[in-house]
Amino acid sequence: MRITTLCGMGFGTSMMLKLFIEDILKENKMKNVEVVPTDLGSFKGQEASTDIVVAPFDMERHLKSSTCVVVLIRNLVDKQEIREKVLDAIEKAEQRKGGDEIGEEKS
Amino acid sequence: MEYSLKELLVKNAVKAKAQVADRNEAIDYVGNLLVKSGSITGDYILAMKNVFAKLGPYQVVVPGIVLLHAHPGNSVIKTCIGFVTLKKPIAFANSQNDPVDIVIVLGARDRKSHIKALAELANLLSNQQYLTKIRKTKSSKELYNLIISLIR
Repeated sequence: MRITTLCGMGFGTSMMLKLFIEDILKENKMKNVEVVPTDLGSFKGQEASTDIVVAPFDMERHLKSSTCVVVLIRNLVDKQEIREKVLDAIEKAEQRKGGDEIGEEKS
Repeated sequence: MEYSLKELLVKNAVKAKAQVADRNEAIDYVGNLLVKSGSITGDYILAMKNVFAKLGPYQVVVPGIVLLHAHPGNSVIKTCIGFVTLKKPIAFANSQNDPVDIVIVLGARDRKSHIKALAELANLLSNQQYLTKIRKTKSSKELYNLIISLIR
């Protein structure tokens, strides 16, 4: 599964989001999810290979017609908000795919 | 090479309780501090304004806090961060996180060398107690020392 984090230039806001999301994936022992930061201009070309797109709230207007599961974050440093929304989106994306691609680490 | 927040934070571009009238003035104010310190050129200020005009106010990424930057390039002399608190909060036209009273400018020379500093910054901004202290501080020198002391 692929999560794309999005911002205007692909190395500021989106990088911050990537760092938090990777922490959350680790906490939940989710493997097989890659997180890729990108900029708005490049995103259109990557959309087909992306399951979930995570962006700051005010990018909503750029994502109205997106084919991905869209996650909009209000507070970029609120890990609780990011955790809830991203885990929910992963569930939705899994349902869409109809498979269980995300393997849980055996402890 | 990845720099830490301590290395990128420009002492002369850390100001407490600055007075600006609107968001353009805010961008100019922090931008000019970084120009004076030899970190960016005036072109970077223009570039940040263009990004803002083109992509909208999404850069207000935390309630009350805007993280401004433009594409990396030659208008950045050295990767740098400016950090300014405002005396009076101003509108940046964000739908949820206005008004803004902390303006942060990232001058990035490339796409990578600031990532460690960004993680440290995110950590600092996610702590409400830290933010309360930052917002209360009235002297620029104290603000600089405070931020440095809060870096984890």
